[in-house]
Amino acid sequence: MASPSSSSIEIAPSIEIAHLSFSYPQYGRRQHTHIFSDASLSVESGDIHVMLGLPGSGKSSLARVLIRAVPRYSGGEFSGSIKIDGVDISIKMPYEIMDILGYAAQDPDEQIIMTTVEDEIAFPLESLGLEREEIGRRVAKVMEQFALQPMAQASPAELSGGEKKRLLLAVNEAIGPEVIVLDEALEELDEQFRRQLIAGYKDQGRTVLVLASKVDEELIRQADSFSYLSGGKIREGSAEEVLGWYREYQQIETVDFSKERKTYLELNDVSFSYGKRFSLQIDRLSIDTASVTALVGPNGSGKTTLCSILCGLLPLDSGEIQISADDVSFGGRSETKSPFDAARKPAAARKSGAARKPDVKGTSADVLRRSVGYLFQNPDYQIFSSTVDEELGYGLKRAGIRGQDYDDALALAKDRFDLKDGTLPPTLLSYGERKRLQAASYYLLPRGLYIFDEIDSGLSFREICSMLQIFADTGAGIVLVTHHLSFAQRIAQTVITMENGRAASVQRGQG
Amino acid sequence: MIGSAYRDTGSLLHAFDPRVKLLIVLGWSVLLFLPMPQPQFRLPLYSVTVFLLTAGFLGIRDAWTPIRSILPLLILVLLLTPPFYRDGTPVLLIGERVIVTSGGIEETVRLISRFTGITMLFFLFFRTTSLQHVILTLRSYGLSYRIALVITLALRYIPYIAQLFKTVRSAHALRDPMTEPEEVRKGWGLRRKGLELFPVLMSVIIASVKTIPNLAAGLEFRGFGREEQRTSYRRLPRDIRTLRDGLIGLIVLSGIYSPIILHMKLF
Amino acid sequence: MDADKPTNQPTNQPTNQPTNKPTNKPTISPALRIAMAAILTALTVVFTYLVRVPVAPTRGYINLGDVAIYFTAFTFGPVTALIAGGLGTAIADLLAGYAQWAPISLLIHGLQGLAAGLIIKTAVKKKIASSSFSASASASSQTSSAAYRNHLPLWGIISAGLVGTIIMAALYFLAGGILVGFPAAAVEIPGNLIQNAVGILAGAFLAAGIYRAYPPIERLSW
Repeated sequence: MASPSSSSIEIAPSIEIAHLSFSYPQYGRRQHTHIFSDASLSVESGDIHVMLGLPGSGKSSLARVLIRAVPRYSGGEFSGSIKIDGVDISIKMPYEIMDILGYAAQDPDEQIIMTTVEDEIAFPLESLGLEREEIGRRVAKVMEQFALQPMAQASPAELSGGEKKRLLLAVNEAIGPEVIVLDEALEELDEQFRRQLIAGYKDQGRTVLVLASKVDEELIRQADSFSYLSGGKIREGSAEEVLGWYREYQQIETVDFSKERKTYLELNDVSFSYGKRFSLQIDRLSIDTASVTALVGPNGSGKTTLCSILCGLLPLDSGEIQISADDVSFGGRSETKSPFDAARKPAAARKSGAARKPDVKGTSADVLRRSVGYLFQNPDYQIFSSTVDEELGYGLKRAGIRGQDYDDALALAKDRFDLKDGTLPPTLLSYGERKRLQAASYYLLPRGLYIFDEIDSGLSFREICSMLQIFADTGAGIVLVTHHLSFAQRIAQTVITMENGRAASVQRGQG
Repeated sequence: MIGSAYRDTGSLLHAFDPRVKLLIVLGWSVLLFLPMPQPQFRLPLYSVTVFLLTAGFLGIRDAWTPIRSILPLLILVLLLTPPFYRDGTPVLLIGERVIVTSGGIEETVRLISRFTGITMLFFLFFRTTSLQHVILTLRSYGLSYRIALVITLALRYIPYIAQLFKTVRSAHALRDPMTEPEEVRKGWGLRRKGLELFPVLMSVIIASVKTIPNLAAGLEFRGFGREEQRTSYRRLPRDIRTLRDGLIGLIVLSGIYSPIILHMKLF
Repeated sequence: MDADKPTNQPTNQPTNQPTNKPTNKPTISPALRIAMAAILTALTVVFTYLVRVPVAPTRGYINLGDVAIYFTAFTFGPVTALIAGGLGTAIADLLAGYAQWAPISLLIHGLQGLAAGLIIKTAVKKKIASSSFSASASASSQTSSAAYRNHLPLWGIISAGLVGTIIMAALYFLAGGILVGFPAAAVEIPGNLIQNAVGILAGAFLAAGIYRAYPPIERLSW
């Protein structure tokens, strides 16, 4: 480790990236997007380096470049040099560098390959050719360190998000590389645990590159150097500088509603349970149109269950949900004019009748599904078509909209959500573009309420706010499920906190 | 949905060496196909013995499970075999027509007991041996490391893809809710279901295929492909119990094969 | 094993990179082969479990396993289809509690996948040799079968399907005959034929669809 005072011995930076340029294969895309253009970075040995970047800026791509998965398994044009502890790794295979470079992926499911926790830790040690006893020793040690012993034989499907992340960190520890890359790997971890982990790395003199899209004050305090990834380039700077660049794009603007706020959904004595394991119980709750309601709470508190019930995916064990008899969803889109009104009017009359029908259980799941839109966190689960145009047109076709109305609606959606090339298959779009496509196709399905599950996990706040504004202009209600408390409080009119399957508190937000 | 035939009930067979278990299962299964003296007596005897062993080690309820699953097939065999095996003395007549002959009965008994026996044997093996041990057993008999790895990886991803399917199906339901009862087209419900299933299958396939390069990179980043000789962390025990189980296996196999061996010697 | 070895690529990469670094032509590394086989095996297991209509009392259910096998054969090639078909259906049998059929499924569906894959591969090669595709294919740097696999010839699909169906139905009839007698085994034949027909149709459409929907798939096949 380099001594802080004058050192006559030059220690090579642990991570040295020079003139990195990379773009994925084009596959016929018209616009050539470079992920990195002449990017450079130098991280000193023993530093904890935090690289901030907005979602979609290329952090995960950078991690994959470092571990050599890219361009090996992705194709594309790559140039530049990467040195770890002075060794040029750009010509090496991933299996050659696994013992000098560690990596924890943003999505643990992407990296976990074995059927049990114990096997997952043992597998790379087997690859290294270690003796059975040594493997056993290391496995036991890291399982204790990361509190994984109770789940040693558990399969990845049985682990929670935090446990999976701990598993990845445990594997890193068992292999023991000097340089570690953590791709948003510290979220969902206990604060104290996080602090101890980073402190531990520092004591051992390891170099850690933390890729983050959220600002963690404590981490910033513990870190030694900083950089900001944007526009394919890396800008190193002090903590203040980097935070400044980052915050510029992370302003949370409020969403304006021009329509009057009305109650849309009313839940009375609603309950649902997954056997003995989990039960949801809501005594009384109402969700309004023309407002933002934030749904917050720890994992497992029932947010997803509640949303599934609201949109009609899950049935109720007891209780009822009343949906407003006014056709709020259909009155909202005045600026889009004919495409929707023409198709919707006969259907609208039918639906309001169904809502007013005396029904012991309240509104049927069917009606809920047609009135409430639920956008999953992962857009790929809700994109089914082979091209952007087909995807957007799906709902329109089902509603019987054709001809000029169809073309206008499609053009409108693409314009509003900044989707330029309609002939592209969705799989070639970036994650942010896919999220916008998901939103756009739901926008074309008239709903009175839109639920967004963890929208802040893939889009910057600026993008989120402008997208929500488009939905707000229709007069529909918005529900945001999020972990980000300050975001929730800033943007929402109502904040519902879930805890153990109950709506623990309903508060006014600042939105 | 994705369960496993294996259930850890801690019987003696669970602790029995799986390599010997496999040999016994295979040996016994082959035996059921070999020509033997008095098959109409021995085949059922061998099969009932397996059933009794299963019931003894795992309990009657567990032993009944595989039988229940093949019951429809057994009934089919019962009904369809006699009409096609008409040799031997007539046993059942309706007026002038011969319905069932002794040959028919013999063949039916032979088929039912053989199939039941094999079902019970395989059930016994996979019920008392975890998949991990099954793979280790096959490896000890020569299964290549790569195929064993493919199996392990497939087992890791089955729940993931199953969950994918569920999620994608709900997502599709959200976009495409069931129409009002009056609108459901009569007939061709299956065809519509098929057409609606197609985009779901497509999405699941795309999501699955996308994981392939990730998995490959993940394997290599965990060291697959390194020059060093790979070691193995897990292995089947090699101790006095293995010897004991091997001896038991030898005794069992020679026991059940003895009639054939004796028969051949005399012949 | 992979007949389409990477030829020397005209590189647009800087000279400090060795020539075995892939930029356009994907390397089908052993890890990639294993990953392909594993994921498609898992997919086959899930598809086999998916639609369980207890129709044919003999094997228990009609399923979409054949869809997965034909899809794999049409998209990923004979060896992947052999492994995915054989292991996939065998594991599905084990998990569903029909372990006695596992060795048989392993053999029969493995052969089904292998045969279908080999025939479609031959058909595609024939098409490339005889049509104008050859000119453009050799000009592009992607000279693997990938470049033209998205043009599966219809007659190739039909012959691959026919052979696969015959293998599957005939072998199941044979194996079933030995196990439960030929009369009972014959009952299964109509159901098997339907499953195959659906499998070939859906498999072909899914294979054609995936090239449109997911262009990077052209990098995967062996």
